[in-house]
Amino acid sequence: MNRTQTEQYLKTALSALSDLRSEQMELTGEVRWTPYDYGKDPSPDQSSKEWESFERDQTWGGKDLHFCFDTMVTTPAQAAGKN
Amino acid sequence: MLRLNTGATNVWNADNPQVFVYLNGVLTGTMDMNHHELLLEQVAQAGKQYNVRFYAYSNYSQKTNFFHLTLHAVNPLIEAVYYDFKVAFEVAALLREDDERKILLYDILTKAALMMDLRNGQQEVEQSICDAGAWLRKTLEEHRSESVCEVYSIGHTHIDVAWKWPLRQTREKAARSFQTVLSLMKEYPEYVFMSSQPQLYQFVKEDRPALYKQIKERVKEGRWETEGAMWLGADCNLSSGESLVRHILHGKRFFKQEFGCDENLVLWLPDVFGYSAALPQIMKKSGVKYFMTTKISWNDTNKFPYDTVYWEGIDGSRVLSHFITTTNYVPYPELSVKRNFNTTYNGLENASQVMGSWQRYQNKDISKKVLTCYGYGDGGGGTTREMIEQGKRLQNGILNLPRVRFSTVRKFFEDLEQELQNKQVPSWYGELYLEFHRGTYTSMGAVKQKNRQCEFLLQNTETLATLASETAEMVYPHKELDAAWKLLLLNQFHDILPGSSIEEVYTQAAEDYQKIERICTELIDRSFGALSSNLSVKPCDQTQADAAIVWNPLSFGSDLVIELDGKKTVASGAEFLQDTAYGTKLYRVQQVPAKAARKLLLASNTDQSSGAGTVLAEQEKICVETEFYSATVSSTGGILRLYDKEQNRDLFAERAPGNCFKVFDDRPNEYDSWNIDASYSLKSFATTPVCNAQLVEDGEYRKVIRVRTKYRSSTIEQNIIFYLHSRRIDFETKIDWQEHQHLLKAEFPFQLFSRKISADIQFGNVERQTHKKTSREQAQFEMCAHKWVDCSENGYGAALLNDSKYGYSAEGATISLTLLKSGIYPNENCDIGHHAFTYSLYPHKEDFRTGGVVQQAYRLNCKPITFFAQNVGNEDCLPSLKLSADNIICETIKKAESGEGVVVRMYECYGCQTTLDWEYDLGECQAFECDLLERVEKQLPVQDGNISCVFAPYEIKTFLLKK
Repeated sequence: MNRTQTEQYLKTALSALSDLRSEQMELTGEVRWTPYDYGKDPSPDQSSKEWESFERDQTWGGKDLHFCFDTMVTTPAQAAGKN
Repeated sequence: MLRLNTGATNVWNADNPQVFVYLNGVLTGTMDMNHHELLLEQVAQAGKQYNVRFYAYSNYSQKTNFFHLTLHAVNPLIEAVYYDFKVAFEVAALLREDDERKILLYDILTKAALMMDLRNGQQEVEQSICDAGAWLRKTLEEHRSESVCEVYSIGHTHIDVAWKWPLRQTREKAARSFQTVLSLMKEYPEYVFMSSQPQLYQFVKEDRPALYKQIKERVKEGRWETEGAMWLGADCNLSSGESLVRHILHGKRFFKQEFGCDENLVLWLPDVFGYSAALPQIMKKSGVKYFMTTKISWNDTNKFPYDTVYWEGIDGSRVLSHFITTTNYVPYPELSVKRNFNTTYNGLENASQVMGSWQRYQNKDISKKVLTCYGYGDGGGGTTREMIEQGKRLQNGILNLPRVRFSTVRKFFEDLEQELQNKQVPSWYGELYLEFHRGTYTSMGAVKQKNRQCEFLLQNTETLATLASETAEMVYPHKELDAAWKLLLLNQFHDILPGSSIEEVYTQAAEDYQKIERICTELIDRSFGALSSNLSVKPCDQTQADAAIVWNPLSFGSDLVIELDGKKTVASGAEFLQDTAYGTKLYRVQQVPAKAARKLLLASNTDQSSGAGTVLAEQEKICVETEFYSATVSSTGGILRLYDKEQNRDLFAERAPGNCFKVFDDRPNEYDSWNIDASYSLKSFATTPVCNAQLVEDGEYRKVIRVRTKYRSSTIEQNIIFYLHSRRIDFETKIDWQEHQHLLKAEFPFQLFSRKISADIQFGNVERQTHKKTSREQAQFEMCAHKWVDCSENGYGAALLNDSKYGYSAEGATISLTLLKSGIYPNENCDIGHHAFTYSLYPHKEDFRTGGVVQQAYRLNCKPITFFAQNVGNEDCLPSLKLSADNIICETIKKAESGEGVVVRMYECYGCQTTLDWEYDLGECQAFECDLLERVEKQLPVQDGNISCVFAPYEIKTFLLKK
């Protein structure tokens, strides 16, 4: 292999290692959202806010704005023992 | 592990979506585009449930963020090998093609890669990778040789206290960034982090006490370094000397009191737009030994020649300074055509920047140590896991390349100082001029004016409160004064005072200045109230008053001119001077001693007639005669002729008038409100008169000529005031400015033989060249000064004084005061609207010293304070300050921070050694000399109330008087 080919080989190896670092699991809980504001920690039992279901391709943002997102995560069996 | 992808991968850190994450109701971590992972557990348990709540902030104007959340199981063994491989590969890739180390590293990495079974899903994969990783580590270790070059590395996040976001968001940014640090510290025991700016800690303390408590624990463990010395990253061009002292006083005190740590030794100002030549002395006399910045590498013209240097101030004080050299490694620098030589305080702690930090270092002959701070700033969340993982590999060392050393900043400076012993360390005398953000001396005139006014107001308030607490029954208002000072210091942040923040920041700043004024006005009233018995008066409403107390805030005795509305006249104690064009009356109180008061008796004015609004003459040009001048003023305000009778000469040449308004198209290539490009001067526009010049006052004290000019939709009105028996000429200026991206200057082309000027700075002055021979002088086409600039030839000169401006340019003997700069980014309305300020022309004999320029500038800035009352006796005594030398200025008299004694601070302003005899009559006192933080250094003899001492040139001295 010449120098360029060696570099290419090493890059490929590095990329493969990067992929092997972690395994993606299924995320089952739905995501809900609501606009929010300055000054208050959002507590989990916040019932006064009206939550709406957040669809995967929905977008959010804007200048100097806050939003709250909420979901439930359950650790799948195949993740046990890992980070 | 949770991963969040918002789609924002190439957004500036300040604007990227930033998120607090709560697990089951507890703040556990943070996320942003640099920190998109959150570890749920070190060891995951099947079936465990988490309620995850994200409190997300957006500052990007478009609604383009996604919320793609994924769950991952991470294999830490493979991850470790990944970083081992990555760092070694990146090092190899950076080395030159002919470097043997590159060939060796590629060979080792290829062998390691061949040992790995990278087929996903195979059982042998993990084991083969771990075996390859172990072999790689062992082989790299065998080839490692100890490098003498060390890159001291500290985790960091630079957070602007306000800029493209308001202060309320800074509070969140600080909490988010600090939470990220705490999360990383749980995972990485070797991680060391530093954050300066006590103001940010104060925000976190107020908003998130639980988080603050954790910070305190990390500080106690020595993993979180609280260094930096100042209350926040203050602008060091514009803040007054006393303000800089207070920054250090409050900054050091906060860290010591809150965290119980050792005294701060490092002034950490990575991002400030230039550094005054007064700073080394202020630092030294505040116990700050070391200085660090990176900003000086942002110069657009000259690369600063040193990275390790003794920085020497106007008085000769020297502080060890190191400028961070973090930048990417360049394998073939000889082929590089890059003109900029920037370094960064937002380091990445990767192979390129670790090697680049050493490569860029210019003082390799005297030190083998450089400093880097790594982590994203301004809401980028600081250090990442990747940075620490890379740093750990680079700490072990690869071949003989520079090695990372996780360290505190203080440790770096102490080791550097040790290493420099017996070496020839270069020195740099004078200011560290930033050849870049030259517009920040002028942008947002309103905030600069309020800053100047509040600086003096606070000092006067302190002096009067001290008098009231020492000689009457008032409790010194430490708490209120502290609060007011901290508001002032907050707004001296290096993107607020310089004028480079968004509009909302300035709305808040205006409210803060009002608060300061309210506090000070109330305290001054309270102080005069307490002092009223000493002065035999009884406080009362102005309408009921039959007496007025006039207090001289200056540190020298002076005639004081006061202005009363037409309802009162002075019966005794002051001489009537003149009715003004506004219907008020001017009086002169003769020779009031320094910091002392004089009582005037008032009477009701039965003669309500006034000449208000009367125009006495109206012509295209108006001629004026005074004791000193024959002058001609044009309808644009230009001084067509200023013949100095005493000196028998004209100050301006024919067809080159003084006070000539010039408007420049100001569209800098980048950083609109920050920068002025050199090309601005190529084209200028004149203002045009709206009407003839008008003579509106023609008295025995002064003559006032009013001119009105316009430029497009903007108007300028000036009252040009000639005093019959004073050399000073005032330009009271009102502007309604409506032009974006323009610079407005007032030009004074003096007929003087001089190629340099003197400029007022904090606690002294500096000389600057106006004949631009070198590229360094050429780069200083816009400069900063405080209350005055002076141009003098042998025996004669002229000064321009101002009450709120800081920017000027000078070429030969032409000085132009920069009045407005109306950039459109980041505040699209910068300097749009109404302005009212005064500048003055002050021709004088000899130079600025003999000519009395310093004193005139103080007179313009520091007006007497008048207090109305009912007279109940003849007493008229407040202690006065007696100084035996004109060149010693006393701005500060305050109660000691300890509560015991009175602090008096003075400085020498002519640059010459001076023996001073002084007294301040507070009764029998012991006198001590202190440092700027009021720590006693030595006792001074006091003889009959008199204290004698010797000032070195430009020395600042602080005294403590104790009863």
